[in-house]
Amino acid sequence: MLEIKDLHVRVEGRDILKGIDLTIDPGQVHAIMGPNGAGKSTLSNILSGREGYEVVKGSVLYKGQDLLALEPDERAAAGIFLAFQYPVEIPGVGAMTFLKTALNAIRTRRGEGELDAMQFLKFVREKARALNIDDEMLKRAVNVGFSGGEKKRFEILQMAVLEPDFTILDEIDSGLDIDALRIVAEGVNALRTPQRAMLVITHYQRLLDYITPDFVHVLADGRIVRSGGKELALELEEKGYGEFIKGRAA
Amino acid sequence: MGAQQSRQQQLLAGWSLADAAALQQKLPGSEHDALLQVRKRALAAVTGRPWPDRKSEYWRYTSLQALSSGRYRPVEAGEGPMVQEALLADSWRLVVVNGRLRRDLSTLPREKGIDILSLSDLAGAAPEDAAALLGDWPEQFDDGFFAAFNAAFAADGLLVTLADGCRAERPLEVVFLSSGDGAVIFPRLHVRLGRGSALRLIERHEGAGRYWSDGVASFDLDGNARLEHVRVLCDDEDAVNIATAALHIGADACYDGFLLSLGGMMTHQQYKADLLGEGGECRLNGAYLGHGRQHHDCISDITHDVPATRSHQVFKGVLDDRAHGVFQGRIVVRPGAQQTDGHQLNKTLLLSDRAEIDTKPELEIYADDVKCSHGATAGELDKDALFYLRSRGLADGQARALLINAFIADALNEIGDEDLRDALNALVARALNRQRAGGE
Ligand SMILES: Nc1ncnc2c1ncn2[C@@H]1O[C@H](COP(=O)(O)OP(=O)(O)O)[C@@H](O)[C@H]1O
Ligand SMILES: [Mg+2]
Repeated sequence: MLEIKDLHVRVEGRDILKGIDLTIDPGQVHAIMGPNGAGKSTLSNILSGREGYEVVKGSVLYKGQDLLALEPDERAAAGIFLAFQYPVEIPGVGAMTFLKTALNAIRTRRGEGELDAMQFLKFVREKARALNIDDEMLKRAVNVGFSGGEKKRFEILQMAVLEPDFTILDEIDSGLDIDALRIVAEGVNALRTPQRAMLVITHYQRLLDYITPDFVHVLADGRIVRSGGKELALELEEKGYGEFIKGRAA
Repeated sequence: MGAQQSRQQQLLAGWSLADAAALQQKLPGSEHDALLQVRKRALAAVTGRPWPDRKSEYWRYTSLQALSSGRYRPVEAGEGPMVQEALLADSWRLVVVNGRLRRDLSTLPREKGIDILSLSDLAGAAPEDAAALLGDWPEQFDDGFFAAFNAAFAADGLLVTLADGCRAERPLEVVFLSSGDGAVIFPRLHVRLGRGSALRLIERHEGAGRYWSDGVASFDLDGNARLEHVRVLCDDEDAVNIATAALHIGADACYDGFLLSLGGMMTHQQYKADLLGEGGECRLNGAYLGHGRQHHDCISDITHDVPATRSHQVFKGVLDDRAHGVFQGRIVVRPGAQQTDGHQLNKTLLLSDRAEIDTKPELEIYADDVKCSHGATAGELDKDALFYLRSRGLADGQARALLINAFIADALNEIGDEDLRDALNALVARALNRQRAGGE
């Protein structure tokens, strides 16, 4: 589904990603763990098409097509979804209007018809309930006045509504207490199917107790320094990142 | 020296004082000496002096060159462009073509307590009253230059009066239609609300051609009266709309105004408001959309004359291409006008590097127990917000439109009346769509 080859990315003249190779097949969940500043968010941004990143070398294929050539909205239509580490506040745009506009934009591009107001309301209410999001929250402007946890749950609601094929979760666990984490993880797991894939970025292995990955990669200083199964997360938890970074330097 | 002299001989380029005087003689009502004298007095007020220029406080950011040197002439009544559909389905409607009320195109109010008179009606029945109405022009801006110019040549005008306690059921829509290349048109609108009366008023300006509309309006609100007034400028993109409005707001009365500037090559709107009675309130909000080389200019001058009055202004604009916006807001709190509440906010979204906004707030406070504030911001669309929307599947144009609409909606939400707000929202959405289609 996703094939990253020797990806080098520069931000404001600094090399941030220094040769990433990663292949993700349908049905798989990959976790990327790493210290702050390793380049995790850079990777998720480059996959979702944010401006300001220079690809110096390498390629990314998504469902066989050149992902890097697509506009962010084309990527969304092709089924890519990024749950932001820092969701953006948009004053004046109601959460419901936003969800409806996004869903209908994607449905239209996929050649499915738009949902009418009633169908949409029913559809969203159901998903929102599962994530413990009340109507009151959806009456507010996008992310405006949301608590940290509300922002993360709203990201997952968007994911649940848009039903992407490939999801990137960038530190979805940061700022969540254990109950919220469980709810969010359930929301994510509900979307796991043999056709869909996910890239779960996290700093802590705790999230991976709830969203079980098939593979774990350690990203440090712009490179994947180690890959393994889910037991690698536990090892990391025990030893800390220092070990891996040192190991690479030695 | 030579230019100065010719300016004195010619009111408009190539149009002499003798031409002007001859036109005045022919205007409706000039057979009554009282009216003719007022017109002459008005003409005297604009002759023998230069036009306002950038040295004037009110024209610092706006050039009058195109008007003073262009070929413009006051028009005799002509055929107007097509009458547009009413903004609100249930409104009473007055249609004014090139400054003259057209009863054949209007639906006059049939509600007890609402009285509509045209200046020419009034001239026939009570010439002294007509003269008084015409002669009472606001002298606030450049000694009333453009208001006097209107008084000198206005052929007609509208006087809307609500009796004490009359609360108009339906809104009143006044449509000013203008046309003609090089035509100068002189709309006049006077609204007088008796004690405790209430009116919803929609004023629309539309037209075709390279005309120049020089308008005068006055709004007198007696105690406890309430006026909701939206002024919508949709003039031809080659047209100029200069207007001066005077507001007199009595005790516990509320003027709730909104200026929506969409059309026109240049709009310059001057509001002078006086809060004359305790408990009076002046709400003057607005939105401006500019593209191409459009120029939208709004000037407000609000005076709190007595204690316990409030003023509230929110103006928001979206400027694209090389559009230019100006907002100059002055709040004056007179000595003794304690417990004044005066707030002013101007925010502009600049969609292009070459778009420009000049904003100049001015507070003059001569009382100590007051709450006054002003603020101004200008900025681009939030890039992070744009990316967030696009990452959810919205195309670039769609994402921009959503953010721009949200920005402007904030100002439109100041309109208390839901019907009026919806109507203006629709106009803005259409204008933004057109702008986007044109820009791509
Ligand atoms: N827009 C940017 N401008 C400048 N430096 C950036 C930018 N984005 C990321 N960086 C730098 O790139 C490095 C990696 O950042 P990031 O990908 O956010 O790391 P992580 O998500 O792993 O914490 C950091 O050193 C950060 O300072
Ligand atoms: Mg990060």
